[in-house]
Amino acid sequence: MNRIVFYSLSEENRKDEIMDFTLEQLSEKFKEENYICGEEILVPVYLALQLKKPLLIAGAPGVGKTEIAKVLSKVLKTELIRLQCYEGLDENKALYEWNYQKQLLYIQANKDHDSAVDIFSREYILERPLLKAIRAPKRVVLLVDEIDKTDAEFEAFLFEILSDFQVSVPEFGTIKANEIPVVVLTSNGERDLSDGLKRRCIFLHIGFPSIEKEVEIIRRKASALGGELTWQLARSVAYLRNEIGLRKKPSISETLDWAQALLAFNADRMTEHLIERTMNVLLKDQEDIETFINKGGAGEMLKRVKGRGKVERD
Amino acid sequence: MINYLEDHVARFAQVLRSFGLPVGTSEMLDALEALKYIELMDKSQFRAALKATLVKDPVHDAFFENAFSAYFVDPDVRKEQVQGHQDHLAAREEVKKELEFQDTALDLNERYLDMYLQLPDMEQKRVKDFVSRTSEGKNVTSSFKPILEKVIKGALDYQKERRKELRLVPVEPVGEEEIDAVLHQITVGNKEKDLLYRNMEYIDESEYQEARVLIRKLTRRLASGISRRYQHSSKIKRVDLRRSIRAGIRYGGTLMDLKYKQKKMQKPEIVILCDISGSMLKYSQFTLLFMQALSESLPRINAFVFADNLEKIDFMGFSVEQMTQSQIWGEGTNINTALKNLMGNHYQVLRKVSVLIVLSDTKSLQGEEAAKKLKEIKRRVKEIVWLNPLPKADWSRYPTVSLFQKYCSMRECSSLAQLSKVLTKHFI
Repeated sequence: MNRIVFYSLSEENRKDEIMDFTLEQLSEKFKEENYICGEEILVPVYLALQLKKPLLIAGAPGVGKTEIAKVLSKVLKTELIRLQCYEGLDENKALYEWNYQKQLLYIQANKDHDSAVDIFSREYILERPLLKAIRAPKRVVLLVDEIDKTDAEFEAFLFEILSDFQVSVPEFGTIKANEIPVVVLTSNGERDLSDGLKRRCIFLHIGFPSIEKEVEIIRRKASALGGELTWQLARSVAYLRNEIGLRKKPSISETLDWAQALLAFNADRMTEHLIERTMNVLLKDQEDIETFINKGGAGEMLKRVKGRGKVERD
Repeated sequence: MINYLEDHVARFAQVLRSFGLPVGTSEMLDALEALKYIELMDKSQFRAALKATLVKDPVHDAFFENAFSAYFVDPDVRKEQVQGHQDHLAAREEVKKELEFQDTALDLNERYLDMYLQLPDMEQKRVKDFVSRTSEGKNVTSSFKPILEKVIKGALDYQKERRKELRLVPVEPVGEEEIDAVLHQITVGNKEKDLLYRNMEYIDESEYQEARVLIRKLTRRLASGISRRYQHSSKIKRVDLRRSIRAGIRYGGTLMDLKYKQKKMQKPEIVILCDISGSMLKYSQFTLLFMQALSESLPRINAFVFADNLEKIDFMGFSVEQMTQSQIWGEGTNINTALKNLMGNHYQVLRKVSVLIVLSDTKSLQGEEAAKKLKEIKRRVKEIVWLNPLPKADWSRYPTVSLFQKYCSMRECSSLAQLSKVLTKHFI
């Protein structure tokens, strides 16, 4: 059976084999952390860990991309370091910056004495997420969130770091990673990422889950909801996603919000009135709300989801 | 017969490449490495491992799924595939003999031969009878052959428009029997479903809502690129003194943290001219829908439609249905009049910062006059981009194409994917 083994970069630490589990065990661990998914998600995650390659996750907002990094950090019992990307993000904010205040204070405090302290040493460096992940004493999970929001130049800089896991600071040389971090990149597809970055990564596209899978997710996260209502809820969301051509399809996190909203109304079954009162939890675009109403609204949806497929009773 | 896993992965990668998926050697090596860590006998694990390493764009998911289920099959099914492909090739040869004009085969490429083969028997018989009657007609000389070829191609194109089953995904054979058989299987089993890559002319009315959603998605991507405020440049940076002094206040006035000037990006101004004469209507409808969605983040878009004359389009309350109510819809094309009208009545939109986009198949009256106007407009605007829905291979047949090409960059644009690609290239 194949096993994940994390090696340290330095030879002498190679015996520090902390993690050692199989695909089945990884699946169990994900379930324990309430992340419900099939092999289509687990295999790429497992391969990224095995091949020690960054995992690039794409998909619509709210399908659980960032959650994978969080779950991985829990499964691997390690720290999660997050780099949130945005337009204009540069090396200073992502890698390191000199602590100018500290340097100035030191110079001013010692201007009358001869001092041999180098103000361009590690003591005066402010670590930003990338350097923090590289210098971490043990393996961490590095989440580079919404990479598509950055500029192409930053992307190129990032994949240089991701291929070597070392950084050159001109003032005192190269810093090499103690442990290769587990890197998870997420993208909402706002722009195409470069082929270079894609080539270095294991790719995972997360789509919307099947009705059965969504029922399982709702059960885990909103267990107080009745069995029949859970099925109706999952089928309603599937109807909205697949059958009426919405501009923004409801995501899994919105399904869970809807479940919470139904719980807040103490609902035990789906009714037209209830749907109309809570629909704005799922549809957040005026055009989509109009499309929903034009296609028959709550009445039509209820007709379509009732008495179709498996209905489980508590 | 090749059975090694490595060979199969390499051949499978070749199949994916034939459909345009960018699968390089490094992806293939990753795939082989990945296969060491999964249960090879578990098909879903095997599929997920190949997908994670070979496919890097969700748009290609459907191709991958089809290719996977056609490639990884039992030997018996593979034999059937090869046999099916051989039968198909034999049938093509047969068609060439069937459609002979005075004992010479008509010059029809494989695409047309396949289209003929997909027709129902009745239609095939009609085409065949027409060819033989023409061939045996009185006073019919060999000079009639090109005319007959044109008529047959036109008839097949017409059928393609009416019948979805004739719209096959174009794929290049690789010359290896087994792989070609797989490619054939995928092509026949997978009609052009994807709206993104489909010729806009063939998007049915029932699919309009789906197309609208797709256009929204594409424009959102494009708009986020266009709305970026700053452009990074490799030129020597200039220090922004004002911002540097302000940043230096933190350090007691010392300029520790230098700020640099960045070049501000200017949002482009777009003037778009869409041909709405008969065959061009659908292309114009979708292009204008695209522009309408884009106009939310790019307010300076001026849109016009033309056929024999020019009409301005207002994006507020614009709908595709509105275009068929236009006075000029369905008239013959005259680009010359449209350009003359644009220069005369709307000269203020033609500025040094604007890009003129013309969507037309170039089939127009007064081509030479129109080319002169284009030359003049080119001096006034930043750039002229011509979107031509005709296949690039056919451009040489139309003299107007080369006339207009002198003054603009002409791009083939018949699908939403191509439209999005052209606009991305020019504006981001």
